[in-house]
Amino acid sequence: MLIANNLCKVYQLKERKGLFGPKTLKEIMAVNDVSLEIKPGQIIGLLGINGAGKTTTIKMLSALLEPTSGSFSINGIDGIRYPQEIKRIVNVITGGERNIYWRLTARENLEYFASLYNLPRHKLNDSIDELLELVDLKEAADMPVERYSKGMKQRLQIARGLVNDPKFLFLDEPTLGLDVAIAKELRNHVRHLAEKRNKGILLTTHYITEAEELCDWIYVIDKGCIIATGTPSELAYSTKMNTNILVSIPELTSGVKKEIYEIAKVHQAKIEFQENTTDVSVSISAQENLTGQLAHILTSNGLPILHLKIIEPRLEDALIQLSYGGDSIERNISNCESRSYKATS
Amino acid sequence: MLTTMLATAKRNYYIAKRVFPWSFIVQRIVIGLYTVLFSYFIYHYMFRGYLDSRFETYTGSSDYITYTILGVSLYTFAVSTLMNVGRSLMNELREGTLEALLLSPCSRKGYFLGNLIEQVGRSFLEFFVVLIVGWLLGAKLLNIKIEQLIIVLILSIFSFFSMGVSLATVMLRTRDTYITQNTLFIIVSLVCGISYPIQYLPTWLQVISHVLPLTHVLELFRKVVIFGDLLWHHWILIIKLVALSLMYLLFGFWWLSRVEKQLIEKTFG
Ligand SMILES: Nc1ncnc2c1ncn2[C@@H]1O[C@H](COP(=O)(O)OP(=O)(O)OP(=O)(O)O)[C@@H](O)[C@H]1O
Ligand SMILES: [Mg+2]
Repeated sequence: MLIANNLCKVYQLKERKGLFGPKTLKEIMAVNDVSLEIKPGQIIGLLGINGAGKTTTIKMLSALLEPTSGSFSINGIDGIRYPQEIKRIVNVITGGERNIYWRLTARENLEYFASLYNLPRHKLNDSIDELLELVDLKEAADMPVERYSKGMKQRLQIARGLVNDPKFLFLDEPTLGLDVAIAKELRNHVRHLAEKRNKGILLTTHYITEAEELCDWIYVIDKGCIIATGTPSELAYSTKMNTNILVSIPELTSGVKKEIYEIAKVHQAKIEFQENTTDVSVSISAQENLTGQLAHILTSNGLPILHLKIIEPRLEDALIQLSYGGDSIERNISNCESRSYKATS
Repeated sequence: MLTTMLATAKRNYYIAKRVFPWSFIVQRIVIGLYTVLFSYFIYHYMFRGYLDSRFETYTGSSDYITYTILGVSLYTFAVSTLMNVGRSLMNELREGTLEALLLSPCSRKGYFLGNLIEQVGRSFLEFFVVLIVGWLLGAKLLNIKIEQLIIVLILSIFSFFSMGVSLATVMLRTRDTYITQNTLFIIVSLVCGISYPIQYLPTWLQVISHVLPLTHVLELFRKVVIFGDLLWHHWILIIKLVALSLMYLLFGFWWLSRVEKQLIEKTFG
């Protein structure tokens, strides 16, 4: 299990005004008091807008970057005191085409990275074949990477990230720049890794559907602070956004209209009626999902439902609301002032 | 460490097999030959074989051609090793693979050693090309004792490797290879006694000569080749050389661990 407690990272940035101007030291609180947990087999999402602090968090958890304060442990190993041990059991996969040798073939790349983890030779060849199979690069395995397409390079990156059979895997925008089909395949891999291989996975992504589809639990990070957590659907509902129901019926009697108004009043729903040439459409928007109650009214009055559409709140909207704010949203930032920028000479 | 070393050597071998670093090799050999020829012409045509009397006092020999050729060939060997080891991490940074390397628990010693052993053959090639051309120009090389030479070369590799590790750190720190390497090579070629004894230099420059291991390696190399001396006669020199190299080595690794951290702190995204 991975447990992070109150991680903070302050970057210090030296800046100079003009060519010979005085140097100022700017401090940027990139990650502010982040605590999170990942159990084996879980896929945890870390979502936030650009510059929210996702990559910085991942760098700390992979023992690449030392936290300014806070602590974390993976399977009981203290991450601050034993970074080398942590490096053995985690790995990071980033989007893009870096972190592989373009002049080597896929197989040579994997052999090299596996050796950096000191894996025994006899195990190596089998597991490399298995990895190549997993990312579907078997046929291209002996071709130099520079001749690969973007998607192939990205898949090789994934194989690279699995080369030490990590217990925890951090995916930093892994589907960046991939086409729809490959991205989907990758998501399947990720799910497979969690479900079948029991790996704990931390995923950052800008594609909300990806997070909705994969994540068991999501942390929303903004300006370095965790501002909301929950399952994808909890988060979508938690921002107090409405579920919209659109239904069309052949006709509308005043009795039905009255009944609909009544439930709308109870649930503070917004209602609109629109009379078309052949039917009447009704739209109801409320925080709760009123489909059941509406259907009950219609059927008990003998009205057939010609068409029904339910638009549930989406995580994407929730995230936009959370990150860019909105008057109706209470942001969970009581203990977390907005990111501090300090400048000292 | 051993696994990392072998894997890195193998990796570099594959890369070299695909894109052989011809340009660097040719460049270093040409510079070596050019320096040899330059000294040869100056000596024969400008000074008409006349040597300042101090030369013999300083070196114990009046054979200027052999003196220079030994200097230049070992210099070529040094530059080759220094470039290959020194630029290794910067190349990783440029090719975007440094992060993957730092992400792994791999041993830096193994990494550098791997870089070293893969290129040793090519460095020797450059060394011998310059030496053979020098021999054709009249350097006296035939009374070398092979086993003594081999030990000198092993000591050279050790000391160039040590300097290479420090150089790698400097390059990573300054994020530059070009200016750093050329500055270093100019300094080395001026103060290490490549084509004239360091005693000709002002005393303050000689201080720099003494902190550069190449000066001592070169002295040993000449003692063995020109005078056919046995190495154990020069054990003080050897201890000095090894101690100095060790300092470069330890300092390089110590500093590298700090520079790596700074580098990660300064990398965005
Ligand atoms: N090396 C650095 N030095 C100074 N500030 C940095 C450094 N790296 C990141 N930052 C700043 O820290 C903040 C968080 O950056 P981070 O890369 O963690 O964001 P992110 O959530 O990964 O963003 P993105 O979605 O764009 O990848 C940003 O304001 C960024 O400008
Ligand atoms: Mg990022």
